[in-house]
Amino acid sequence: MWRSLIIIMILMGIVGAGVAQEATPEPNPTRPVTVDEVNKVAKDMFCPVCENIPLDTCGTAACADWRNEIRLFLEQGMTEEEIRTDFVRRFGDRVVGVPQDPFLNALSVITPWVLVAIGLVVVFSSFRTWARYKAHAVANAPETPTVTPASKQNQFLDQLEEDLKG
Amino acid sequence: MSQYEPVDMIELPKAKGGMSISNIVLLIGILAVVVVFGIALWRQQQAQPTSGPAPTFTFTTFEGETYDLADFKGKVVVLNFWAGWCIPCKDEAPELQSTWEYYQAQNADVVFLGIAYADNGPSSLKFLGDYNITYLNAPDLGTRISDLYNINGVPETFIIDKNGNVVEFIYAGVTQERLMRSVERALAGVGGAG
Amino acid sequence: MFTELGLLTEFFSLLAALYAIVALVLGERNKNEALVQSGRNAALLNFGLLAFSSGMLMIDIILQRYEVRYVWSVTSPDMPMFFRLTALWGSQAGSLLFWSVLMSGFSAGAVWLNWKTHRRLMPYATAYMMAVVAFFVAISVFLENPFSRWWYVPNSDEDMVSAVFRPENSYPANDLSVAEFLSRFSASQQGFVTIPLEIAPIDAQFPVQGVFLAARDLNPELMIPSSVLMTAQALPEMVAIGDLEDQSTLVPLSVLADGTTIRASDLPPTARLAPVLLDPNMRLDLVRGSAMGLNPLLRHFGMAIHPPMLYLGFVGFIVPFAFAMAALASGDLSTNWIKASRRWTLFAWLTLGLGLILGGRWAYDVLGWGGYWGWDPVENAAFLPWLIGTAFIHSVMIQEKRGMLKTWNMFLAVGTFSAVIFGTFATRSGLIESVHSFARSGIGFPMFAFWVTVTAISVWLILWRRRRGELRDEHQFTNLLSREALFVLNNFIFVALFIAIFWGSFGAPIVSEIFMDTNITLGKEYFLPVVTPLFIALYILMGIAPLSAWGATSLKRLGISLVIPLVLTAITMVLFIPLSTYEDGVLNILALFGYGIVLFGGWVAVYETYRGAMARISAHGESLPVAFITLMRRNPRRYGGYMIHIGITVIGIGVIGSTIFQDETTQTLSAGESFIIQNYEVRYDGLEEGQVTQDGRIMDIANLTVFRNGQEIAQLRPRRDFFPNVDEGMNSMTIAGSHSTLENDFYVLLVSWETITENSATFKVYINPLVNLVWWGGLILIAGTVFSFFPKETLPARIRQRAKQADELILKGVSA
Repeated sequence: MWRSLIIIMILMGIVGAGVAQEATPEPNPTRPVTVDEVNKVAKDMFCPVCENIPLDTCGTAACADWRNEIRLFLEQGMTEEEIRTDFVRRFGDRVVGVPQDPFLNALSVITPWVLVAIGLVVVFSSFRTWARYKAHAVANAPETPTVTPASKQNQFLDQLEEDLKG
Repeated sequence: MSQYEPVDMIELPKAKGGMSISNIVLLIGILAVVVVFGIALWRQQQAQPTSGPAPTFTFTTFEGETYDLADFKGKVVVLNFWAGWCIPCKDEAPELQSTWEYYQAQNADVVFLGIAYADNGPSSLKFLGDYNITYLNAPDLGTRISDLYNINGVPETFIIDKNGNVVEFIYAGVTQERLMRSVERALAGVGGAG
Repeated sequence: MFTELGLLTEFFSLLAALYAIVALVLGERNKNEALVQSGRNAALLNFGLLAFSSGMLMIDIILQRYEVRYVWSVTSPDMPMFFRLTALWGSQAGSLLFWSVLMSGFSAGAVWLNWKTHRRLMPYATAYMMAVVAFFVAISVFLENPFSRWWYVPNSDEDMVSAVFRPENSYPANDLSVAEFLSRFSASQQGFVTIPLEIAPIDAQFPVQGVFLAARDLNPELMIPSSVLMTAQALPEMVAIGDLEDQSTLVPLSVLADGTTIRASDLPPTARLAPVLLDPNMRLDLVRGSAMGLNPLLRHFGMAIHPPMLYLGFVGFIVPFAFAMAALASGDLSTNWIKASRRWTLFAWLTLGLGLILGGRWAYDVLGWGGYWGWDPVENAAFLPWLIGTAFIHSVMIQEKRGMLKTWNMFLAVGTFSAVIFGTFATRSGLIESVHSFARSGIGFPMFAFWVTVTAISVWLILWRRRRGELRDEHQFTNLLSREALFVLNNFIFVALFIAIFWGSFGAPIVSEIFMDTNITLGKEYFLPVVTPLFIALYILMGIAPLSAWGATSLKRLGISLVIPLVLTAITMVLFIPLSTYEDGVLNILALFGYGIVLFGGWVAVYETYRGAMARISAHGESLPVAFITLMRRNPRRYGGYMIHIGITVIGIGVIGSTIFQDETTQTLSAGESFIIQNYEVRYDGLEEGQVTQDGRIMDIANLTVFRNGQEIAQLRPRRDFFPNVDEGMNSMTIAGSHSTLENDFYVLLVSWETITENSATFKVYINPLVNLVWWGGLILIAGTVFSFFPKETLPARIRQRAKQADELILKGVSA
């Protein structure tokens, strides 16, 4: 089955290589703001009244209003960041994927990493404790070799058989 | 069995005796999660206030004037949450405005306050213009006021008496007749109390 | 009749569950075998009763008994039978009953299959399962009863009351006479009458003097004189009668001349009639016409399978949980509880995974945003038990092999089920709101209390046994590169993912709301940076762990076995260069390495299987397919596991491709016009408006032709379905038209259209590269899991010994 996987991958590679290159349009200040540009901003924001629905895909009339507002802001030359800040000021931090408020931002983003770091410390200190007890055990107990390879060659097979025994 | 001999069973430290630090940390962690979610659930189940002191807040109107709800003590406040995209709000807007005009003409101790929930851009101003709304109207910046009153949606209306207590909560859109009944009751209730 | 039977059996199932708990616990403690047997039978009876009860609800649904409020709220007369059947779990009350019956089914299955083999654990395990079942049945019976019926109560604040038993002075809402209907209004004829919501939901607060009825509440065969019909100008399709307050807004239905009659079924369903003018003995059905129908978003084939699968996965984790708890309660702390629950765990894990994938597919097909995973709290709530469950599946292997991590495995079994209850609580209580969640309801606090109780009791039991020294490990960790150490790392990462996703979905938003009074939402900007490194670590471990040995592995040996998978990875990475390149020719190095890491995990699984098969070929001279099959059959668990790893790799490739390289554009076209995205050209051919289907939906379908490099490749028909009888906000559905290939999905949504002033439409087009690998990977994952269910083929010891010797001999010969 992995052969067919390779074939599929090769096929995908060939097809992918065929993707033509398209020139990006020249920026033009008088050009009206396209829906794509609006959606690019809206994609990273949430609808202020319906929880957890991104603003670019939300189908209600209210969302259409807000997207229209984004278009007006873009036409006025506001940057994406300025628009986001304005929306946060008006609707609160719920409209963006990560809060702009520095404290909330730090709280949201750093907490999981702090927890992960604590977890890592626990795991590694456990490993060390185990290793220490192991040393202690080895010193006091008769030598019990953990691995007894008859030969290097059949290590794999031994292991395989061992595993197969379940 | 395994070809590996088990390393001698060694008593792990703190396996017996009092609570180990890790257990205490674990229990505190579980307790913290439980308390936080308990509070969250309790708050989530809070409904709109129908009596008791009205939560106070400060607001800045679309004209840029800043008030505090407490400024209106001694007056009956009709606090109406609305949004430009809400259809029933469009039905009740003329009713609210005509009721307001009625009390304004009488010089009664009544204040109307519209709070635009999650909508204060051009469409809110257009809404106010479309219905010639003249009473106080303010955007709900950060939806903090709506959160204070636990509103479920718009339109929702609260009647606050002269002492700053919520006396009535109206879930759906209002008519002038309905609103006047409520306001009269609020005005009378305080009059009776002195 | 069916309703009453369903109600009764559901109530008795609660009694049976409670009796089973008492009998099993007392019987086991007092060594009273007869009592234990009786408790066992009660547990089986519980399943029978619950199955019967849900059968009754099903019959009510099929027979369209709209007086049952649940039936009324999830079905409507125009719904096709297929969706009628899926309505059993379409809303809170029914899905709670369905959930209970599934859970009881698992419990009965465990009793049936494991009673003899694990006699010591079973009484406690069954008691635990019955306790959980009893809780959910109690919620269903007392708080969310699916058999609650509509009653018409004249002279009360509410006109319609839903209640299990008939309230005083009420009439069955599906069968009452006009006179009974009018008895309410006699006193208030002069004032304004608010039309009962269930009777006239269209403009319920329209001030009318008098009373009127909706035409749909009448016998369809009834002939009605036109003099009793009037229509409102504002809503011209509506016919109204009675002394309406403002005559100027109402005009008689012009098509009807005085003195003629019209059949009730020919009237618009919203037509109004004055019952005063009707025969007082005529029978009315006030519920059938206003039945709501299933939420349109749920009328999708994926929805027929997704919830049952998700529920199976959720409730299935009750078995390992109950066995873990039974082990703690009974003191049988060997690996028996793991052996007894292994297949149940795998089954739950499989169905939960399947449920997640189908949920993604449903979102992709129905929600119309071009993606399958939005990091929405409800999706995450279902993903959390899967993460802990996956950690558990890996971790129990260490206990089985090495007798280690006993406490940890207990915590994982408890954690998985606790996560299940938490997810149920979070999505059903209204704690979080989302497109997937159920409406807010009163079951929040009981669910919360149950979650806390279950978790607290379990943790207490574990700590108690641990303090008594009964969960001591038989081996110690010796080496950081041993397989058990790598599995511990794997567990750590799964738990870290759990914490990160839990924090992002629930922790941070709730903490911020409670302590900072600020509502926040964490979206992909939070999740992607946090989970990506963790998933990378997971894929790397998925690559390394299978190459390591139990006990210890030397770095050198590990290094040697890594060579071939790494070479294979490097070769395939070259093939992935085009797939890591944007259409403007810029290579995304990070994406390429992402592909590489994901591929590495898969190549190791492939290579290990290949190595095993090769060893067999050289040992037994078998042909490749034979060697492959024999190998797989010798240890289905191991090679099924590798197959799952390959599936996970394929999913990973799909996720990278569709996340990083998604392209989208929104374009408005007139009929005949076309636009270009990448090397595709899309031509808008026209709109088919107002196609009405059997279930009452109105479809507006756009016809598009898609060309690639000038060649026509597909005709797409993206559409918008409109459900006229459904509440605003959920009455339309955007169904994408999509051209699927392994390379990508060309996915088009019909956003809006204009046919009056100009013949134009707006489309949103997504190109989702490799997205189909997500589904294909899912299929491989399913196949692998199903495979690992197979019992191990065991050979007689003598033959096994001989085979091993042959293996050794030949391997020595080969390497010499």
